[in-house]
Amino acid sequence: MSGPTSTRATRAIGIATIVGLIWFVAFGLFLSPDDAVQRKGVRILYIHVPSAWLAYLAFIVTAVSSAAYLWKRTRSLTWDRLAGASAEVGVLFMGITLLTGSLWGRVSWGVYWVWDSRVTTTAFLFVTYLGYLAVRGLGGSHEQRARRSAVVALLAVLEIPLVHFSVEWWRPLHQQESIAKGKLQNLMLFSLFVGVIVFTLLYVWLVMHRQRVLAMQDALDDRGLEFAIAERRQEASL
Amino acid sequence: MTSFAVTKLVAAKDLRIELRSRVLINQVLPFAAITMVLFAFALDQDDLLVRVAPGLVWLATLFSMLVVVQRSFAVEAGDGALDALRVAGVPAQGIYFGKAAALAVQLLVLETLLFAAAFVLYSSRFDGAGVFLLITSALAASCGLGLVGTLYGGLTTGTKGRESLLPLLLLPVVAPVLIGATRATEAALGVGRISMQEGWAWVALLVTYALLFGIGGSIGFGPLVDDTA
Amino acid sequence: MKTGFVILSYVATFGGIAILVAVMMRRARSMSARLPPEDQPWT
Repeated sequence: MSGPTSTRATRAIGIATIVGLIWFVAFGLFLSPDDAVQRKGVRILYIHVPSAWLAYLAFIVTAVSSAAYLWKRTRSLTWDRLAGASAEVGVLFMGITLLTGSLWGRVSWGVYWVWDSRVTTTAFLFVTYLGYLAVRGLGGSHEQRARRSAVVALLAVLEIPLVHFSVEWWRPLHQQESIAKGKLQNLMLFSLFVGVIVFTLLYVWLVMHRQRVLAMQDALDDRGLEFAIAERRQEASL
Repeated sequence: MTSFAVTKLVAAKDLRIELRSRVLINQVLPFAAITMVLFAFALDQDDLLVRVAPGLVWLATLFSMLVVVQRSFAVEAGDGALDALRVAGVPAQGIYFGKAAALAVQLLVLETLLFAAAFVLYSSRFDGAGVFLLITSALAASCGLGLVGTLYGGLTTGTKGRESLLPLLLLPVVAPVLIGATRATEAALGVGRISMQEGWAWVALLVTYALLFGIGGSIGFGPLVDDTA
Repeated sequence: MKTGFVILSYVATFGGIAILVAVMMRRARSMSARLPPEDQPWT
């Protein structure tokens, strides 16, 4: 699967991802044992935990890239597009986290949702970054978009601990819930490990492609403007 | 002109505009009151209403706040006043804190009236000891809301349908205020199993929130309003 | 029954990602066709 945004690097990472994916499904679905308490349900965690970690990583990348854009010495639209691409992939992984978490909750406790601090903060993060993506779509020049989104991303970094603390005080995590994820032995830990590797590769691959697509989009916007000006000039000279 | 002088001037200007136009009294307050009535229709149990009154008051405040924030920036948009101020070199921080202060004052007025409505509509009762906690928590919450509202209001003001983005951006951000203010109010009113001490702990959270967003907002407001498109 | 949920989570996750990747590739192809090579410096 080679497209216009592929390079040797992305092809290599892409192949590694697919190989990893095969291992992951093999171990996650078949080769690892059922958990003593949770039985098959634990297999959902092999997706849920890595995608949560990568979603948080993605948002950290967005925040750092936003700061890099705002700092004059490193100002470059590449940082802005990296922030945007990473946020999009982060929203995707956050969605997967919420979906698989909900299904896992249904399998383990019979409920699709709990109002505890972890779940609530995750849902909150999801909505916050949807807002960030909406701000990116507000229009204006590339630089205006970049500065606006960068400030919003850094404000989000400020909000998230506040929300996490207030929700944690409101609904403290009970002992039982952390035990539920308790002890994983060997092959299960390995499946989780493979999951983290696969999702990390997937994240890098997606962000590289997406960032280049955003660059093409910006270039098209710029060209579009030049083209429109050229058309006007032609009309004027007729 | 110092930032502080600008703050006082901008706050006074915004409040004077509100006094003359009476948008808060004529439009926002009725909206908030109707919201409180609709809650009663939706929840349908009188004994439940007393129990959830704090949450309902703060919910009505937050929804009304969206209107008040948009109004706060609409008064600038007409003549491009905000841009004119910035181009003239007026410090963004001064404008930010001035508008935030005016917004906080308007919210406090709104909250007072909403608590009065709760007294009537939901049979909420206020006892002496709790009143101090109630007032303090309302003050802390309103400061936080004023700061955050002005910040995101500045971002979403302007043309091309940006205003519809305000609820999506603002409501998640004010979640800690909703949680903290509601818990503190529950403690103050003696509903729910929450002690006064816990109520004061929540006030501490509200103050922290206001401080953090005061700092973050004073830095971020300038860059956010300086771009116009 | 539990197996159903497990399968669903794997299918939804990787199926969803695959669909999004396909959509992204298609848009990339159409954009790339309209742009000169100097606007695509990674190739």
